[in-house]
Amino acid sequence: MIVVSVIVYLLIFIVIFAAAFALNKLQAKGGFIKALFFSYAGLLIISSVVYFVLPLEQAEKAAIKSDGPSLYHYFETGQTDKIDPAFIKKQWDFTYEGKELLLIDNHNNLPMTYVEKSAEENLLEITYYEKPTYIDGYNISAYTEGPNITLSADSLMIADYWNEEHAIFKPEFPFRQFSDIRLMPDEWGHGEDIIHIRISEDIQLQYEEWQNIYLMGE
Amino acid sequence: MSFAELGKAVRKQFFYKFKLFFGLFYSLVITQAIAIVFSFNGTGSISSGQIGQIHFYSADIVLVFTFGWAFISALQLTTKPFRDNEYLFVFNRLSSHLSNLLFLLALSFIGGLSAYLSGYLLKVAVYMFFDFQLIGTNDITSPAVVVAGIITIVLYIWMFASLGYMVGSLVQFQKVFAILIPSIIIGCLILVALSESEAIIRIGKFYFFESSFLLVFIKTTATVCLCFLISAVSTNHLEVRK
Repeated sequence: MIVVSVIVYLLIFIVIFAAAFALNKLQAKGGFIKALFFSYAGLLIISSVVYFVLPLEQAEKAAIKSDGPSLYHYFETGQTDKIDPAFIKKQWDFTYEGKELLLIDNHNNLPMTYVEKSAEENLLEITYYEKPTYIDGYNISAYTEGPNITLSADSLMIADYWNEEHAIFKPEFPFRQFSDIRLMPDEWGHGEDIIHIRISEDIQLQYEEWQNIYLMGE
Repeated sequence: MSFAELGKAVRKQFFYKFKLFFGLFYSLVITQAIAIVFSFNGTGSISSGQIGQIHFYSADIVLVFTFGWAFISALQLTTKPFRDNEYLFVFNRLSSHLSNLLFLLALSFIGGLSAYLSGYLLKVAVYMFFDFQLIGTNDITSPAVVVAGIITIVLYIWMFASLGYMVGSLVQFQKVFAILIPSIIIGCLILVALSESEAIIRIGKFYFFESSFLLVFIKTTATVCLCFLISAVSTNHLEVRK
């Protein structure tokens, strides 16, 4: 996709450049400079038009959901049933028949993960809770996917956490100085996120010490 | 020389200079192209585990580079090879200064407009070349702010061009300024980098943090007038062709 885009971009520039070059007929001494300048001007105008037809999803300003205790409080006090279901972002249900399960992640970086043992057999139920992060009043969490969790053989992979990249387009500083917009956010409402793993008590979960994993009820 | 004759001379010189110094736009294109490449990294970014990394994109770097281009281009106008080129058309020192003032305004207009539009080029390029989730925030919706912003960009560039013109004129007046001014600029940059000088930061805020368009207009045009006045006074003793 990127290669195609680069080629398209270059082609546009070459076509405009060739047209401008031909128009100047290279008679004047500054023919090359004129061709280059007008090609650049053409590219700028085309880009401006293209920008306004880009399928940019416009974020809506939202009221910050900061009411209620923190998610950690519910887990620390064992009151997970009282968590507002609106904070559940993703859920996975697996049936695991093995006795040992290795927990791995691909970036050495996990959110706080609480493990709850259950008497149910072959249970492996995972819930990703998230209280949104707001930047300048925009709910940025609405644009994040959260981790991807997959079960394969005897390992549980928690992937793509801290791996997402987003871009926000900001106006240039002479525009910002006449408005209340700042380049870097003035208000950054940090959210919270927690992975909750419910697992059969006869399954031994293996993990590294540095992973943020806490056993509930211990 | 009557006022009408002066006006005619200024107009003639302006159009002549526009043709003669068209090469300055070559450096403008190169400067802005380099600045756009630098901007691909984002003007700022934040990150957290929950949301990943957010890059903020704007053409701020292009604007700053364009300020530098305007300063150097104006400085070049005062150098001997450039002055020799205008020799045939110069009626007197005043007409030369006035035509330069207008020429730099025209340069600033073109530089400003292209810097503004380069923001769209940058954003379209980010959309096409980078695999980012884009978040639109509909920031500027007021046409008045857009118009004020574009005029302000042109005024800032004109101000930097005037500073360059003033520096060039001072160097013509006394060669010692050729050493003194770069030393002052480098010293100021070091002080800013070390956050040692409140005064320099205040000067920056005086121009670039002003939220009233009228005051921005007054501050920048006053600075331009002051720079041209100093240029005119410092080169007053010189012959039309030194």
